[in-house]
Amino acid sequence: MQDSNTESVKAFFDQHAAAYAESETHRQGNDLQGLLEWLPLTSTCKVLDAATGPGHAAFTLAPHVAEVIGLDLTPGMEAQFEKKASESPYGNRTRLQIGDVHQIPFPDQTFDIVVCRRAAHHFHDPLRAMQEFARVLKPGGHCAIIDMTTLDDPLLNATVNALEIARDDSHQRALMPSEWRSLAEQASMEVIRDERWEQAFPWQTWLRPVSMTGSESQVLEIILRNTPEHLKQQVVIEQDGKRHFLKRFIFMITRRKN
Amino acid sequence: MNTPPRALPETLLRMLACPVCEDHPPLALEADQLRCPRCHRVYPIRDGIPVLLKEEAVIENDNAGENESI
Repeated sequence: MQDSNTESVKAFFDQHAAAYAESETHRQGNDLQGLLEWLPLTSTCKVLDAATGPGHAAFTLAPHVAEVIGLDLTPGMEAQFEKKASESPYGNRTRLQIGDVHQIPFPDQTFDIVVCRRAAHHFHDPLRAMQEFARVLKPGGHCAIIDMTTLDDPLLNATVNALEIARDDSHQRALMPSEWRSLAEQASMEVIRDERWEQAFPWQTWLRPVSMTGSESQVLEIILRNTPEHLKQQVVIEQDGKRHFLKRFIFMITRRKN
Repeated sequence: MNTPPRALPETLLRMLACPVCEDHPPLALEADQLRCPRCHRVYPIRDGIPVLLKEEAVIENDNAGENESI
């Protein structure tokens, strides 16, 4: 199960690496600004960007810290990361490392800051990942988790996850905010910031950067047809006469207890 | 065209630890691979980037199983 998830995540991102590097949704976003404003960045900080992908968070942080290690499972992201490093004046502060967030290849208490942006819904064991983030953080170090979430409603959560899996079979689970807070507690971290926001994506934009085959689209429509109306209204909305997917995000900053 | 990989800096090599062993011992650099002194897993370095994944490692010592911490 674990290995098959790892393989499906690697296969998915190997196939879609370039699309993720260029995706407006992943490249832009105020959450990158949030990293700069809400984390205690200093010129001596050592940062781990867990599941870095093409390194959007890593290269945002690099000008403000000493060093950023981007950790990723997927060799396919390597070319995107290295290209960005060669283009950035701060590229020499960044380095890509192939590894798994569930088994981070660094000793205890290595980093001042761990960030994990828009990736945790791919993890097969998010508690293990949070415990690993806490392990590699120095005492008092900060961890920023940014990911898709839902309202604290298990039925809505199940609906959103079914739709996301139909779109992308490497999706594991978007957690509810209450679950994230619980994971932080279990990993001996205290939550010091918890921001939420919603963003409506035009249906086709939500589907990208994943290219859909006909059967995947059909599965999505079947799920929607069989979803109770009150739940569907929380996910699929009309804007300007067009169908949109209403995505919810959480930006949680935790601090490792001593 | 892909950007050529950068050389591995000494500072990063010194930081790397075995992802599998519970106490995460530092890895020893051997030519184009990294070896864990505890579990004897050998991790490849591909295109200048260490691949520190359990499923990509090879255990080169027949007795390694009894030394595994996980």
